[in-house]
Amino acid sequence: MTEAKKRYRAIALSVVKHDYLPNAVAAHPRFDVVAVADDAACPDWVHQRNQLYADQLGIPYHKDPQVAFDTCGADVAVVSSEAERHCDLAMRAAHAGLHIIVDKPLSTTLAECDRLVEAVEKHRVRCLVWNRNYLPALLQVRDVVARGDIGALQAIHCDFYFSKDAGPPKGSRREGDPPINWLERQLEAHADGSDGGVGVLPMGELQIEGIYPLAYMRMLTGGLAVERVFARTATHFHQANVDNEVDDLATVTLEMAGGVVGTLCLGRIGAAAHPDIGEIKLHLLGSEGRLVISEARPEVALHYREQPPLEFRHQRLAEENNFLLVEEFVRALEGGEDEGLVLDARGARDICAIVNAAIESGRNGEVVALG
Amino acid sequence: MTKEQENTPLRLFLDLEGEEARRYTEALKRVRGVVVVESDSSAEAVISTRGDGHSLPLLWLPPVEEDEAEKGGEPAHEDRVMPAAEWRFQQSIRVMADRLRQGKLGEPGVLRIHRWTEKARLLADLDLASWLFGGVPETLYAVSRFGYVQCHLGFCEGGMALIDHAAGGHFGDGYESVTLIGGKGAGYADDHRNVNLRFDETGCQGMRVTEGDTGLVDMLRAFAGAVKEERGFAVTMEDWHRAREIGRRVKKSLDEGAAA
Repeated sequence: MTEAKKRYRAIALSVVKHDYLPNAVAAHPRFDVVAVADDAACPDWVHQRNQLYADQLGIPYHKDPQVAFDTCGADVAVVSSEAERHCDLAMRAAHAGLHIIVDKPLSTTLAECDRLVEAVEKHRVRCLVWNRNYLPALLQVRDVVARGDIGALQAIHCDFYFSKDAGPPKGSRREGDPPINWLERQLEAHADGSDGGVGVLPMGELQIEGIYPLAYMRMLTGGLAVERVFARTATHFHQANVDNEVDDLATVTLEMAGGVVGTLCLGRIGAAAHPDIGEIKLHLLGSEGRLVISEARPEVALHYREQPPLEFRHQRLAEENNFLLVEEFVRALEGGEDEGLVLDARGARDICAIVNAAIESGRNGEVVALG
Repeated sequence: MTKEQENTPLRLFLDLEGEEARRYTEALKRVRGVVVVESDSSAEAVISTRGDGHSLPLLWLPPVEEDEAEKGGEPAHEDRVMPAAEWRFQQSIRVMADRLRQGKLGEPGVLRIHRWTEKARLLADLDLASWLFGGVPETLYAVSRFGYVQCHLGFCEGGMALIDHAAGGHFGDGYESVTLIGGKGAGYADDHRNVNLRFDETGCQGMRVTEGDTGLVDMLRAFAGAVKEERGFAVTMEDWHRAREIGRRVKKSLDEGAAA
């Protein structure tokens, strides 16, 4: 008879963004999400979303995270709040001895990332930052690179154009209209899932989505340090970004340790600009070969009469990213400190530093060196 | 143009050698209203890699790398010269450029080029970028490692171009991906989209379906038409000088390790 494996008890520490993260944990056979918790001082919309999620799972909602830490017997905190509260909530979980799964981005502030890294290491808990490194095409390219099929990696380029709209297009504000309030726009966007930047503080797409392609590059380069960054940023598509002075289009040149170079093009290019979720590709040049990878593969094409205009014509398949991330987290919990995570707090902190350097470079037009 | 002029073939002299002579000769067979003559004494226009020594209207094949361009040999009579910017006539590029000019794609935001090629041709891509954005970049930063060059261009109004350019004999048939992202739409011209599959005992291999020399044919039609109708060329020496200026800034950025 095999020994019954431990089941982990998880607290959903705020569920105000997409619910994919707590859902991924709840769907994994080794986890039970036992409560939702958040601060009493949060605004009503936060409590409403938390309560809704708790009701969906039939679990209690505690308006005091410490009460949940003290009473739920939890092992893990799943943080899916606004990005500006990620680190604070995660740090409190770490201080309570809970392991952490936190949504992306870790933070837009390097100091907050540093504090979380310190707390995670001090309390010897594990912290997984959500990413997409387990998509089928990413696993394929990871294996090809790891086998040495293209020799030593010399250059890596990522194009990351995603096609969801983000409210009215640039130039649509009429004279006399007030600028778009960031939080209100994000709250409206919850239904269609384009609220990746939910929170009071406006965030550019480099801050919201940049962690995904940069995590790809980090994995495929074996975590090579980025030493210098040059970037251009612009608000090119969406009025909310114009009104709040945050980018929706960016290009970044990366110079890494060992002479490896790379580039990133990233933008929320609008639904009209692509028939599917977006054009997301990787180009890798090695000493012995090269790769051109579409992140969307495998996919199936669907076309039919009266097809809703916003339904993707190509739908992705074999997508087990969520399960595989949680599975990796289990391995990390049970394998000790030597068991790595594809993106931990320190890795996400380094990505935050790259993003911040790119934003700085975009503002001053100069190359920015990372410490 | 009179009916008689229209029906009289344009006499072209090909001052080319090797593979270029072969390609141009084959392409000209598909161009109506031209005839290739044996010497420039009986020609009305010339196609040549040499810029100097021609007084007739000239389709000039310029060097496409800055090091080559620095050697000189540019045409003297600039108003009678069309630089052979074949890349602008490539049909996939032309479709995107036309939609951009028609306003269908909105303001250009990003031009992204991945080019892996046997023979370096960075000036061609710099010309493509300045043509599509309609000017020279405000900022520029270039990095070169392992024989690759990355050029990062920033144009006015926030437009940007990012060129990944790798050249060398081992790149064989090469690879090209050109993406143009505008404010209202985008175009994707990518070899990756134009690959069929072949299976044999070693497994599965990709087979590209290329545009062939259709772009070259279109360029020759444009040149011949402009000469016959005595109108301005679609590509001018001003365009060429603009690409050169950007090429020099790329070199400066590479030399100094800073934005130029």
